[in-house]
Amino acid sequence: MKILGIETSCDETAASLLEISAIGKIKILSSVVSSQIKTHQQYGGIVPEVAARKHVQNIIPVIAKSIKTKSNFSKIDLIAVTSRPGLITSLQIGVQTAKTLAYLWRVPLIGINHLEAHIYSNWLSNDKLQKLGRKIFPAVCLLVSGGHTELILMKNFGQYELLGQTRDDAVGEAFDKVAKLLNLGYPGGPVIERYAKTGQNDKIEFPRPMIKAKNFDFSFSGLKTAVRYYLEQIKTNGKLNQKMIQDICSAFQKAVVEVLTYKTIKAATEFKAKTVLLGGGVSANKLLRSNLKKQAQKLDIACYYPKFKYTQDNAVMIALAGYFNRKKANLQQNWQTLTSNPNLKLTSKK
Amino acid sequence: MKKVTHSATETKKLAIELAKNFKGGELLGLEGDLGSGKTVFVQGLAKGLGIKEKVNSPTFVLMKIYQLPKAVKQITQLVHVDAYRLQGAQEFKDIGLDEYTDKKNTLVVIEWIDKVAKVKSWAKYKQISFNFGEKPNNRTILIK
Ligand SMILES: Nc1ncnc2c1ncn2[C@@H]1O[C@H](COP(=O)(O)OP(=O)(O)O)[C@@H](O)[C@H]1O
Ligand SMILES: [Mg+2]
Repeated sequence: MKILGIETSCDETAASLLEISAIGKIKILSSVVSSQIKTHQQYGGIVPEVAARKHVQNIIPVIAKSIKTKSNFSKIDLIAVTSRPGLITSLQIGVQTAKTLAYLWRVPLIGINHLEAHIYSNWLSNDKLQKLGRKIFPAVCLLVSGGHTELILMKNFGQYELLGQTRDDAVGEAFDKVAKLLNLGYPGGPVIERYAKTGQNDKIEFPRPMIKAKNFDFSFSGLKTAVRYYLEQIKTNGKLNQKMIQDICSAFQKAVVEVLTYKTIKAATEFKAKTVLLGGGVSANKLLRSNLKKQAQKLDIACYYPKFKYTQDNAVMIALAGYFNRKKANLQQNWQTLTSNPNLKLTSKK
Repeated sequence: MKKVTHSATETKKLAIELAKNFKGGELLGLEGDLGSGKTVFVQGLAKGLGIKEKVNSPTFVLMKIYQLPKAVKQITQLVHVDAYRLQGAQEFKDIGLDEYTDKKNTLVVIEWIDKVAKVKSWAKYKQISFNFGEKPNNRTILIK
């Protein structure tokens, strides 16, 4: 079957055409992402109104490019669109476009949870997961991005339990805010990783927030504050130089990665997970990937992460989540009833 | 009113106390740099209003709405906004904030109000500013 995926929940307008064979083999026919990073950089962050306006401009060209030929569009079997969570003004553009297409083409439509799609980005990147099927469960998934820090227990396809989340700032937000404190620009993740590479990670000791807490929650606002205090201390004693910035980035990154790894492995052990999965923008961080994999392997737990291009928001993962949820798609109603929802969580504690 | 707090817990306690003073329909504008304690303060407000949910930073989603389990005076919901990534009043409209301001049953709190305060329609707010003190965990909180 052919699935068109559409994503507009945050700063990327994206569309993808996916073909999945009867035996579940995934073939990516197209993946178009119109990155808006350039527009956002000048504001030091994502500006939603600008984002929404850009989505309006981009959505039709992006979808048209993803479909490529007329013969493709006549064979689309399902439309999958991100309907939650995200910026409501941005989400609506994708959802309204998808509804219009579903109505015109008489194709079933399904709303996708963005977080679930990030989990499925692992299936796009690892052939082994496609072969293993249900054998990978239970799996513990760590979702880390600008707006999310969630530890989720995946018991089966479509069956999730939220184990923990951040109590204040998200990990990606911490990267962005620390980069802002250091005047390194936006987005903070890649730039801090780059500086960290040449820094020494043992020169400064930043806290490991909530590492001892008896739950799976996180806290990152204290790290941002610790970096701030450290910077003030430097400024009263002299001037901040390149080497110091590298050391700060390195120590900060180490603190973040240690907390994330520790809690994920703890959850995997407690819930006897066979697999650990990573997802979201911050899962592009190389230290996080290698550290988590190393610790998981020590315990004989398999560890997967998405290819770099699928850590960022994209529509391939939305289309694939559509495939896994295809039984819920409805030709009769969905284009009439589907609405966007800014806050809906993937799961709640039972 | 000027208060100096010496820990995040103290700031939360101050906010819990202050929560009793609001009737509904107010707009609180929080000012202060990164890490000055604005979100901590809102966590206290939420607690003071009886909200059990976790209140985390709305920087990314821009706006979060919390329902009170039981009305406090007329207040039935707390709207937590973060203008860190916003530019002007039009963007407040775009996220749908209009629906919540000046509503008798709603308390609206906006972090980084200074980013949009110049705009006339949003000028009527109670200003609360957060400043770093001499010692690391000291914060001076100024309530106008
Ligand atoms: N007296 C204090 N009041 C508030 N927060 C404090 C205080 N002392 C230390 N902190 C710490 O400062 C940080 C404040 O972070 P946050 O509330 O996210 O700031 P903001 O929202 O203003 O960026 C937290 O890590 C908190 O633990
Ligand atoms: Mg804040």
